[in-house]
Amino acid sequence: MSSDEAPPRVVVRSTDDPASDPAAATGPGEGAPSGSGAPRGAQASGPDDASEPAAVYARSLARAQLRLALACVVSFLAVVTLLTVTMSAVPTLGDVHVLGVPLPWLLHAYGFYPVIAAFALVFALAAARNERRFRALVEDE
Amino acid sequence: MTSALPLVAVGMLLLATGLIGFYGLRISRTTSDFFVASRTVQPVWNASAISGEYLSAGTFLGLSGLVLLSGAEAFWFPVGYAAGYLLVLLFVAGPLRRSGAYTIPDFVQARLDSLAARRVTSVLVLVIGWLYVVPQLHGAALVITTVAPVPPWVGSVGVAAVVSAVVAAGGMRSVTFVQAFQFWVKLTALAIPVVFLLVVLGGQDLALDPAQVFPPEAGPRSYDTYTTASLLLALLLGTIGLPHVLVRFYTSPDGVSARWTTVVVIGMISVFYMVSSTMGLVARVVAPDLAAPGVADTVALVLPARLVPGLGGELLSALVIAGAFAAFLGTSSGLVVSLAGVVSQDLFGGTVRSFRWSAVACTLVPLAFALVTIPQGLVTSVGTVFVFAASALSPTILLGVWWRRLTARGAIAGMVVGSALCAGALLVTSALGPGDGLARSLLAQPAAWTIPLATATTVVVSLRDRRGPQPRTDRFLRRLHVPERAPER
Repeated sequence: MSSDEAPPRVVVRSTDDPASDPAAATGPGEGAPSGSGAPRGAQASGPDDASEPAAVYARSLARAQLRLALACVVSFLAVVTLLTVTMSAVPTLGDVHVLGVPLPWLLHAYGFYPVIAAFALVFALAAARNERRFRALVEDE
Repeated sequence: MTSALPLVAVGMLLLATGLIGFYGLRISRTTSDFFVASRTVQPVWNASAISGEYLSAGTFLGLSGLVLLSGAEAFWFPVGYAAGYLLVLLFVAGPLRRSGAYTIPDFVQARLDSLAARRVTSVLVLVIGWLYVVPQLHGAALVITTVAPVPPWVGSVGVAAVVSAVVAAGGMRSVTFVQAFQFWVKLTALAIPVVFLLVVLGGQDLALDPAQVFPPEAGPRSYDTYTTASLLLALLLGTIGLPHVLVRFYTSPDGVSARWTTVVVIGMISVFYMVSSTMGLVARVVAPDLAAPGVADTVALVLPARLVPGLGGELLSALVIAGAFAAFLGTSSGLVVSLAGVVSQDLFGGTVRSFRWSAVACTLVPLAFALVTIPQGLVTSVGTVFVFAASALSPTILLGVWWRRLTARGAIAGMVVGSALCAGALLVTSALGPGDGLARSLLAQPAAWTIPLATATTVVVSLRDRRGPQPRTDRFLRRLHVPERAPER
């Protein structure tokens, strides 16, 4: 998506930034407002603002992150359901004992945490990759 | 157990807490220090602090108690609490950090530009926070009676006094250090005894009958599908609506580090839950006689002395008791910081002085409630708070981050419907007492219908709101989802 429009700037500062939030004003997340100095309170959500490439990229980033989160939660729930059905509906598992404890009990006590941690790791990596892609797009302009 | 050792252990814990709180007091000087530790907290400290605040009496004592009492079903609670943090990571960790909001009401107001929506949110946050502190104080009452010949209220009052003093004195910064310290206290206080217990059990020739100790009818085969699914839904979504979770992201420097901090937190709390679950399994083998309501929650305190004779057992018991107090203090102080932040900002303009008074007030209310109510099972009491948070606040927060059409009217309608339905169902359940049948399950575990109804209300009212979303919505949402300018770390 190359274009010869003016270099877009990422808009991350909200005009409704609470005045009671002194730390945020100097936070690393603050970029200068775009739109060549649109005055504060000008409610800069007009069509010109929203059609800037940066704004388009930002919306597509948000959609990508939402898709990623939904994909993670759906597959996580699928794994949880599978694990739950396995430990509760496979009768022969109850006959297997490890150190005197039936396998279904052990699965329930310990089996879910590795799954949760794995999904957390995969999501954090993928979300960071989405953001790197976005940053590359914005800086390419 | 009337030896002086447990009292010495609790005394040392309180002394350490006080010293760390005092150290925090000396370095917190500005308003921003008080509320968010000036965002200079290191990630590992921050992750320890989040975990230290999240692991409450419910999983420190209540989990092994409920495993003993009702079987493997109890494992759903820690699994749900850990998975709840996964959903926090997936949907809100990065965006909420970037929102620049200190508290959930701050976020709702900034997102919807509505003071009315903020007020409704503040009320719900206070209710959730107070309900969450009550089981911590009940736990303190329970433990103090096993330690010393004093009435139960001494424990509740003692914990409430320490919490309000530490929070009022040092604000967020000192609480961060206190909680980070208390996470490691909690983990070692449970892990060391568990290792000892396993070694002792391994050395004994147990005539263990698995069918009796771990009967299938108390195991995973006995789960009711609706109850399980509804409870899990509530635990998954409830974490997002807890008052003390959001403010913690604010102590990370940016959205990316907020996400990684959350990953570390998931690892830390998972390790703790596995240790606590092991304690529950040991309890079923060693202490079936304690499987009675009210007594079961003390099993983690009693086990070491039963299995390890002499001084060793007493030292281990003292360690568990110190860890239990760390759990009460850690969770309560985190909650009181968040609640005091909400009260002082909503009512008094957010000065340091008003924060201190709000901290005291926000401890007194749940203390009064704890003193006049009868303790229920600790882990189920905490679970109920998750059900309420998931019904009342989670839909608004999730839609606020991800759905641009959300309006203030929609959010208010959803919050009112969700909290009213959920509170109604839970109150009817406690009025009716125990019972069976589908209708009773629907009332006892209402999340499966209250969360969808609250969400549907929010969506429908927002769509029918002729005023539409507030004009700066797009700009605000962009701020939530776009990474900060500065290079990653």
